[in-house]
Amino acid sequence: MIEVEHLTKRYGELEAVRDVSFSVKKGEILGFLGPNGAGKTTTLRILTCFMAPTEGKARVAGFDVQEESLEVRKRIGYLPEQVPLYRELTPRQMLHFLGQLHGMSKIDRVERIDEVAEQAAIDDVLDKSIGKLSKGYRQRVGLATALLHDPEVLILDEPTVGLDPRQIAETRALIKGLAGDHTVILSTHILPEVSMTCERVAIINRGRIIAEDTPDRLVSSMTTVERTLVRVRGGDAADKSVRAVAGVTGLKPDKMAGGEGRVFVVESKPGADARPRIAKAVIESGTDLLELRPMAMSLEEIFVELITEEEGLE
Amino acid sequence: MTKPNLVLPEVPVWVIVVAALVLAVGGLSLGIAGGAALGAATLVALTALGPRVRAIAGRELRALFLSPVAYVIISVYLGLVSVLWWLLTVGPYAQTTYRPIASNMHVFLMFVLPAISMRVIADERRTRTLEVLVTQPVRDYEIILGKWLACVALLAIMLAGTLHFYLQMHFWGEGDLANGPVLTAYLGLLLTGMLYLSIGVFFSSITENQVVAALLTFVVVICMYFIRFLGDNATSPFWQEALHNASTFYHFDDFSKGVLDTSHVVYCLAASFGFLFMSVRSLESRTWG
Repeated sequence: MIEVEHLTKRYGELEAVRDVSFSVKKGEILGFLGPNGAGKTTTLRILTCFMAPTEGKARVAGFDVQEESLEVRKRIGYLPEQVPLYRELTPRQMLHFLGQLHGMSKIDRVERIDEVAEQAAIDDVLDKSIGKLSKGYRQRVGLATALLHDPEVLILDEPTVGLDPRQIAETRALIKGLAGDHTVILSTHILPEVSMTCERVAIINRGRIIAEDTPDRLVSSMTTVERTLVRVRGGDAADKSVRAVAGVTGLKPDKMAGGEGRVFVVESKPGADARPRIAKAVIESGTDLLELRPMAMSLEEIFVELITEEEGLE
Repeated sequence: MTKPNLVLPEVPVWVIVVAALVLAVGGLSLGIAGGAALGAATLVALTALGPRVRAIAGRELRALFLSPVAYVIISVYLGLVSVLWWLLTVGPYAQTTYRPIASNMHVFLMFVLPAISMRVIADERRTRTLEVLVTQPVRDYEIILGKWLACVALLAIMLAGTLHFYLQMHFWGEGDLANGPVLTAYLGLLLTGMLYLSIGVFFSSITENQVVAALLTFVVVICMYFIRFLGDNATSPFWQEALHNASTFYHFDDFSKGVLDTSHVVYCLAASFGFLFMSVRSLESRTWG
């Protein structure tokens, strides 16, 4: 549904996007993850035909964004960063205006406005001036404008910024519900958002895609060491016997951890299944075992790791 | 001194001031009534250009009338014309023709029109709604045309608001006012006004600062007016004619005299088209890699 090949965008000297390639299948949700200024917005702006790439090609729904921009724009719903809206209009007027631009008949518009207002939960503010709405409402009015013409492709630039936790959960559920019929790209710098809503993640940093996969596979492929947290009560006899367990590569006491007893983190080779043996070793050394749990690498750590790795290369 | 066109009885100054105010307010309401009709007519005409141009023009007009801008500009313009009209009919410079009034109405247009056109694109750039607009399935020329036509509708409303000055002279004036030149003068005001607005739309499309857009428009409009006098000093007849023909003053002069020459109409329309074309290119420039 979306194919991006070797996209590069330069602003004078600055390379905002460097040789970016990816594709999104029909009905899929792709999360575009990266720190601020990584090139997410620029990439999305190229896909929505707002600006042209310096090099490379992008196709949306089978149409080239430069050659057949009008066809592309008919098929996308775009929520730009910071949600610009006409402040002097009411959401209803704004939706009517955009519906007219999409060539929708009045009957269609009235019907769709009711539908998207309900989906985006803005029915109660439809006739208030947009300039007087809160940030959360404006964000959802923007979402409604993107959904209005029931586009095949949704491009959402930071769709949950400025919402309260309950609204964030609702918006994520809404986006997830859209997958299947719609193809969605959403950008964010919030990690849990990606693991919760997206089927696939592309991590972008300094204009380059540095990793792309499902959130789960990304986590497992990046795990070079398995960590296990162990909490014990008693002397340090346990440390020695744990170190001797096959597969264990290291042991670090965690002095920061509060609570009862002593905490240390055991590092072992991935796939060695060292946990039962660690438990056994602790107990056999005559120490009380209070807690033992795996410390899975979060997407957050992977993200930080990838980005620092990347920066270390240069 | 020529015979005054209107003879009013001796009245104290305050009566004149109050009357002028009443006229200005009356003109405004008349203008709005006439403008509503004109606006409706414009919208019907816009339908022919497609629903998207109409939607864009409609939104632009709504924005103009929801902010104080439109009212302030129309009031200022009608106020200026009222004072002028008084000076040129009952006041110290009384005349029996409409021509000096029309000529000055033209000059006032050069001052107020940049304030109408300044916001059309610049403001959308500043508030970033331009990103929403251009990512809709709309062609760039439809955006420019819609916005320009909204400004033209406001100009028509403004000019309609001055028609009652003519009607008063027609019905109550002592002089024998010829109707033809008044008609061509209004046509000239509309056409040159359309040109000024297209210049304004162009400068609005290249900046996100409305004040800059208005100032640049004003400078160009003034230059186009005075370039005629450069032509007067030119030695070669070619340059003389070229500079005269480039000047809006030269073209408007014939309109105000009652001369309806296609070359003047073509000048205004072609120059408007030129600036609108450049505006479309300027809007397009975002996609030039």
